[in-house]
Amino acid sequence: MKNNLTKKILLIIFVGVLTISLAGCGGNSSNENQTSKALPDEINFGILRVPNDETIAIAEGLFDKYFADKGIEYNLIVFDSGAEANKALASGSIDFATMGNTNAITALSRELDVEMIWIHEVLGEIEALAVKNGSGINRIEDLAGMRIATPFASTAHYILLNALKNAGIADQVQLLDMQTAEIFAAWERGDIKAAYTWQPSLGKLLESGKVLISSKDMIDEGYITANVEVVRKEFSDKYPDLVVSFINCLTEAADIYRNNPEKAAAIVAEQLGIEKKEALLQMRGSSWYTAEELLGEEFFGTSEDSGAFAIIMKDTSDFLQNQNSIEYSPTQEEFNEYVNPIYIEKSLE
Amino acid sequence: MKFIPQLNKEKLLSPKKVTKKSKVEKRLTVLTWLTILAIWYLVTELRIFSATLVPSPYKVWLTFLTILKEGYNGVSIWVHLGASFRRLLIALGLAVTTAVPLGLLSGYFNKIEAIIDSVVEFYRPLPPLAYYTLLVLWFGIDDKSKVILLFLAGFAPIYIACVSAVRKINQDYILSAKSLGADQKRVFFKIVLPACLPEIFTGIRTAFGVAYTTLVSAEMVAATSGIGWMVLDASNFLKSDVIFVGIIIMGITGVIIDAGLRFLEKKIIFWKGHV
Repeated sequence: MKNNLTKKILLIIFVGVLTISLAGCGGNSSNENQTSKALPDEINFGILRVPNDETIAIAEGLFDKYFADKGIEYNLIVFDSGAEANKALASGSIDFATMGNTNAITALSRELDVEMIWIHEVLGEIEALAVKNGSGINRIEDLAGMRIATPFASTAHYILLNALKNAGIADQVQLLDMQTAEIFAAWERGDIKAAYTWQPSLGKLLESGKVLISSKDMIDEGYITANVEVVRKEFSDKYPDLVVSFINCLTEAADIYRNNPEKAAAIVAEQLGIEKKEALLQMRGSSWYTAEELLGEEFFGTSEDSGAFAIIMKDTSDFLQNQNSIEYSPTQEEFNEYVNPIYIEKSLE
Repeated sequence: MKFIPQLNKEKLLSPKKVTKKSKVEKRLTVLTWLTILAIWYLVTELRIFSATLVPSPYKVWLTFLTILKEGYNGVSIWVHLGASFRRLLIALGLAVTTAVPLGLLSGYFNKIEAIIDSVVEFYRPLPPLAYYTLLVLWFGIDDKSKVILLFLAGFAPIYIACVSAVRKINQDYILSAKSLGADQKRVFFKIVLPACLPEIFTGIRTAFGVAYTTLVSAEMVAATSGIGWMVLDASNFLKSDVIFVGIIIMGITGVIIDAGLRFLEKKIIFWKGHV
């Protein structure tokens, strides 16, 4: 009698669980069927609060022009770094995301179904290792035995690791994983005397510090980092034209900077809450390229002939694998496919 | 003399019933876990979600073995666990030594309760992350701010348990002790404290649970070790297998520690349920 009862209970539990899991699958597939329309209802953009073309586009209402006017609702979700954006991409919460190329590598390595469609800016003085005034640190070697804060998994983290490695003190420093705002707070308190971070928070550190080494210095040594745009393939396959629109939108924004840096600086300054002079300085700390330039062999290359950026990605990826940051370093072929110039090409047609 | 055989009789009567019941219940528990494992296996086998979202049980097992052998980020897993538990134990030690006396006093004297209670009631429902940023600003990024966060998380449950324990004491015990000539001190140590111990222990167990759930938040800022930090760092690189391993380790250690506390409770408060 009692045994029967247990069996019944078990059966009910089993059936219940099965139905729930099956219902879950069913729900998913019907959703996918529903969305195959000409235009999506909404697009979710993951953005970074940095002085770049996307920030100008948002401030100038270009997103309204390219998306809202077509009847598509768009949402902007601010992330502190690409690492967070990756989590949102993994869950499918966002369609587009701005992130450092190191995060874009993580995305490919972890088989997120995304592709890289744009380079916002190649990072120069916009990211740098700041040391506090009066700390007595004048060379990288002086950092031995100290603590350095940086947002882990970021481009800044990658450059910092290489700079420390080249100076031969990689295992003599303690790295702290902190978000940009936390770095500023810890800096103010005096908990840390060195941090590798990016603008605009870098600017606040430099009010009481100086740059020891910047990502620009590291470009000369062959370590190139950039902020890039990735899009979920599910989205780009369904709405390639919207991906092209987005590139047009970014190009239009970047043209404002190219034609009238002062105006662009004023826009960025207001958007990020910094001084106009500061904004211009920060924007000059990175290199912005036109769609034509990005199709050159230095970057994306063309659909027929992959450019050098895929090779940079592969090199960076191998480094991250050596660091045990990623388990699998994708092949060069995978990177050639991942760094996809087709939408930039279409934007120029 | 008369009392003891009666107790034994009771104990002799109950085991049969208890074991029979617990057998069925044990089976149900085991079955629940087997079902969870089976669904997990099925979901990954059918590739309903990508391996980044849901790694397979086998992959998680392999990662677990690697972490046991090589540690995470070059640091042994025991160092990570040690760092977390050092923070946790210091915080809980502080919480017990402060919350128990304050709680008992509050239960005893209304004036003291009036001072402390509202403060505890105010901060208790706050999400720890909300005030953690402040703690970091005040106490720095080192272990101090982490321990204080865990202390605050653990303080409230113990304090509240103590207050309610004192309130629930059967006044007859105190009155009879007093009428037999016991002074305040003896009443407190012979009647009040022993009578409150069971609830205090429950409070400590709750506090441990709350502090443990706060651990990940505490290790979110500028930590370089700790089991919570390991999970967060893994999430930066989307290493979901490591996240799974971290969560499973946290879950199992949590259960083990709770079992340890319950064991202590049984040893120390052998009279529980008989008063």
